[in-house]
Amino acid sequence: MDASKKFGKVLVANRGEIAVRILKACREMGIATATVYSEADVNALHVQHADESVCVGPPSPLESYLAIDKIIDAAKSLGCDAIHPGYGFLAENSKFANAIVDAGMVFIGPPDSAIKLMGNKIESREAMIKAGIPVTPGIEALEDDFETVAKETEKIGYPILVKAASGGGGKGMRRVDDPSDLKAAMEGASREAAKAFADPTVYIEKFIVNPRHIEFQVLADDHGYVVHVFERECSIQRRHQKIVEETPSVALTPAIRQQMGETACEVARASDYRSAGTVEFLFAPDGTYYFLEMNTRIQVEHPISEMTTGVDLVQEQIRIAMGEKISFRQDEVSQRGHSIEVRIYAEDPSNNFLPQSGPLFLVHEPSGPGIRVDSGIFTGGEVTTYYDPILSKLIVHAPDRKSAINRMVRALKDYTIIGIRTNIPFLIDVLKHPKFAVGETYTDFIPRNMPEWPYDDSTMAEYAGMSEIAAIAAAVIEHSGLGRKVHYSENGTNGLSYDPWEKIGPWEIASGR
Amino acid sequence: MDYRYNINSEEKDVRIDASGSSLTATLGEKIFDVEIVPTGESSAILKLNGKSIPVRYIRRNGEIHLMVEGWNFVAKEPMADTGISGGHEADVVDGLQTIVAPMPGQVVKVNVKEGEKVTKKQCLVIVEAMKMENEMNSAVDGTVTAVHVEAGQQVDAMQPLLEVTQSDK
Repeated sequence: MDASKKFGKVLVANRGEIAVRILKACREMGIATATVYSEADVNALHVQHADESVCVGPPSPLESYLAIDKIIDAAKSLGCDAIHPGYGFLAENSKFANAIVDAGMVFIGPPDSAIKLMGNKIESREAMIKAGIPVTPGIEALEDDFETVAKETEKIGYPILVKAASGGGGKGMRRVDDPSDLKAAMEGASREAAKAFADPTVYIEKFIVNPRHIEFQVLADDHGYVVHVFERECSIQRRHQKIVEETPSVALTPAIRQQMGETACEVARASDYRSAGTVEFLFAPDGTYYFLEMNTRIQVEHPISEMTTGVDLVQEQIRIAMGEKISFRQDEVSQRGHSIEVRIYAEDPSNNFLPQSGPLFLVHEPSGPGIRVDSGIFTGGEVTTYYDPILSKLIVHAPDRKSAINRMVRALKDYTIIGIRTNIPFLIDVLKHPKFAVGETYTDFIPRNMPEWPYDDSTMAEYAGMSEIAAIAAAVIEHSGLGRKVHYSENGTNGLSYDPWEKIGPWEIASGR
Repeated sequence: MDYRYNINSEEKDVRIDASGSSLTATLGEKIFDVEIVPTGESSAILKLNGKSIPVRYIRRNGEIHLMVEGWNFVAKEPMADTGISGGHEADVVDGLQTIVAPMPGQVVKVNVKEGEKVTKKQCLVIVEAMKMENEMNSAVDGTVTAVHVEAGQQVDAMQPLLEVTQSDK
């Protein structure tokens, strides 16, 4: 290996939990760290974790986390060898990747050609069709005339999905069941796409009924090695945002798993891929699967693959960027046990999942065997409205699916976030749902099984019970003086009996005799 | 001792009685044996009729913030209620529903006009905040009696967007 390619310092161009996770990986590898932040993130966790940091601008992402020139200037002024983009923001921006290379640094990610190809859903579909990869039926280039589009859509057959050509993460996506809703859906999707991706182009795709969303994690290096570290199932989604991810998928047989893994590697080869990437498939109940898209970044849900295979995907990304070989071969990696991840969002589940912001009075993470928390928050921190509402990810690993579910429910109940409301109660009810237990995790799981949540009878009853417990807890806490600041008078007595030691009784503290 | 709390906008009366070293809590017609054991700075085990329930809590501005089995609660003295705490849901007061902005953002689309009849769950207005479009739906059947905003307008949290007068039942 060319020793000169070893990174001395890496800049992480992101924020929140993923920035923290990458900074920790660098520290483990003995690489010095740097990051950028906006004026809204002066006290953010990722800033504290980096050795050095530079404020690149106002809170608005366009002026800070998306400001390519400012980020590159910061990296150059700090003497960085490489930049890791995380996910979101500039992670899939080929201009950013190019600008980094032009500035004499390394982009920790795929080559710009692969980003460009996969960033355009229409072109990537065409390329995959050429490479013999199965894709869903759809209309790639929409006519300007709506009547023509409506006629062509009728031919594919409803339900259909309207998707943003430059999209991802559910933004700019609409399901349409009724032809009369097509126009409004196209307008809405186009508006959201224009804002989120600066490209209003949308396209239409057939909606597979009862599909599962199954993706394969791949790694590719400069030495011609392409490997996969198996699947993740991300079927449980709310408004097309993934909220629960697990591996292995209950739907795959060993034979289909192997076949899909090989197809995923084929997608990586067909796009001349490098670094970590994810090939997304739509998996139909009859065992057929279709290429959806390839995400050319490290993904939010990457930890579950790490838990079951023992591979550190971020460190592999960094090693690949340094020109090294992937540290293992395909036949050396296998899946062990079951892993589940949930995304903790700053959303109020009892009020239409409206985004929440404000100071965090108390954050306490669950712990114990097989529990991992990738977090971007801390007690005393603040959640602002400028960025994605993801706060952290809770990941569990257990010998089998049933114990992983039980572990996740327990860990969620132990996860304390006070100050803003989160989707934790909703996640608990998803995990406890009998249909989740039996693995009926289709992408319409939420509308199908929990349409009224939290206004269904059982959730209302549970909530009513919990609010009674809360009232009793508050009264007993008040009655016992718990949590009050205690001022000791000079004679050593105080008027409050909150101190647990006082309840022990007439013990004498041993003095140093 | 009697305690009255507004728990997430719902009033609850709890009486705590001490007999010797043990406590009982009375809530409505229910009576519980209750004990609280602090296990850390902000954590405790609530023993309710012998069942252990971990709770976390913190005091802020005279309120007790609690987390029980994943749910967040704020217990405040009823007098301390500011009136905004009811949340961002469409409030229906005397048959008049006021749709307010959930948080600072931009109105993307107003789907209804003054005088238009609307039905429950119908999307009235779309507000974008944190890069996501939030559809504000009507909680009642009724008639739009006022539209205060137009598409493209920036709005503050709690700013009234439009009003719907509920149809007679």
